[in-house]
Amino acid sequence: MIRHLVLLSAFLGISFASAAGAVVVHGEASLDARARSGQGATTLEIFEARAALQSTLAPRLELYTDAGVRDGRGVIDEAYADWRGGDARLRLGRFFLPIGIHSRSELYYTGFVRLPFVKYYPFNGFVLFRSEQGAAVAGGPPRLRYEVGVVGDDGSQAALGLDRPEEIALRLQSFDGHLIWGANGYAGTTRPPSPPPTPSGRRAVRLVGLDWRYSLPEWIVRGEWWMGRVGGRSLAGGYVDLLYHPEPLPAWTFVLRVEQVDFRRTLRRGTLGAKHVPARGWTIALNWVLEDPRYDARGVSFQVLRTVQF
Amino acid sequence: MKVRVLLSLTTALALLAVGRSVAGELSGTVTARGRPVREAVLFVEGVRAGTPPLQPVVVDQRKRTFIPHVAAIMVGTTVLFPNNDTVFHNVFSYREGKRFDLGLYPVGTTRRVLFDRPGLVKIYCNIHSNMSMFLWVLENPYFAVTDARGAYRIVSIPPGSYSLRVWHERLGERTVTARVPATGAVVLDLTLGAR
Repeated sequence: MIRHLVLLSAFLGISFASAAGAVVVHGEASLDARARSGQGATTLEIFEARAALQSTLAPRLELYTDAGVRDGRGVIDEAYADWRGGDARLRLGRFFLPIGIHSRSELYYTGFVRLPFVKYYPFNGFVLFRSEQGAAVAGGPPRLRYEVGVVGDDGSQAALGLDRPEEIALRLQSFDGHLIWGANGYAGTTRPPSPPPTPSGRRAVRLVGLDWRYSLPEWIVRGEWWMGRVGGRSLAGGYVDLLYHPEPLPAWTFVLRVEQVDFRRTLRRGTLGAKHVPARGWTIALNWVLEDPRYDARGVSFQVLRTVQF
Repeated sequence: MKVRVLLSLTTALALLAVGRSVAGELSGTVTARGRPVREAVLFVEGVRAGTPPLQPVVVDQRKRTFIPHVAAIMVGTTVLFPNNDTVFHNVFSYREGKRFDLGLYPVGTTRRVLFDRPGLVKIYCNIHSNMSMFLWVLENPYFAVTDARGAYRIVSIPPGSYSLRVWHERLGERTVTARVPATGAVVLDLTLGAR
């Protein structure tokens, strides 16, 4: 099924590209290869290969698809119709939950090989790059932007999800000088990661969070903090990133992350790394991850990311 | 009174005629291996003239791309960098010419930079490694960027012999001598790359 959807997305992109007239397609394809050394073993993998297509169907209407292969299986991270009018934006389809710092590029292209814990959405099991079906509305002036997502179906990718709008995500964003901050809320029900989900096994989720980005020339400090309750248990967690892009080394960025999540148990992790851009479209990242030996990421991770635009 | 008006009109027409007669034009195409070269920059070197425009120049950010990819401006021009994309960008230039880092800024907002020294400025986004643009900051208004047909046109050049530089991000550059007459246009077709 997934493979068929991936092929369909690719076909849609190609067919729009070949159409004459007003339809314009932009896209990018990326290949993410990783090597990791930790816990006495070294592994090498093609983490993901993906293509994103942005098809302009009309002056205000676009179709966006982002699909590929990750960990050996086909995935559709995003596939939505996007309508814009003035400051307003309406998306219908499948997209990343519009809460916190949620852009793929800000999370993956800034020098960190791994997403922060809270981006694994620990309140719903550790699901990398969880996206949801539904509708999202964004609007307001740049000084106070809002984004509301109504989603359902818990990432099953089987339906649009509007028939079960069980989750709502809300984000407000503003800025003042160098500081950009966001206030977030999330409410809904979700399935526990194990045992296998059943309709009766859904848990209530209520979360609030803050995110921030503070940037000066050469320096960016950003992060998120979330707290709330999942199925009656309290959850709190977040991360702080420090990004240093020194002027004497324009192709290098040095990164530091500290993070913690308290949910059933406490997870802590520290990441120190560097990103190098040797040429246009190439990104090489090296991360040293310090965390509890029982967990997967401890050790050194090396990532090569190649992105091409067309 | 009528005589004064007539004299003024005559003087104005004479000045206009002189003004026209001392400004030439360079035009032509840039090709490489027989194909038109778009986004080549042509400019007159070694001449300081003109004043920068009062209106800022806009370099847009859409679909993770700088638009335009290549541009030329005069020293003293302000460039606006609006973020009209769906994601944050971090525009910077550290290598040559003007150095700046605009930091992260949200969708729908704009940052501005005054380019106050001549040279080639290479501009990037520190999040999206395939975003880049080239901005030539020049000391006179005698420049042009080729269009999709490889065509260029530089107008209002005082008569004389000039060093005309042609630059392209991948095809390299060359300098030729261009003689601009007091009147009329000179067609100068140029080739880049293997010659």
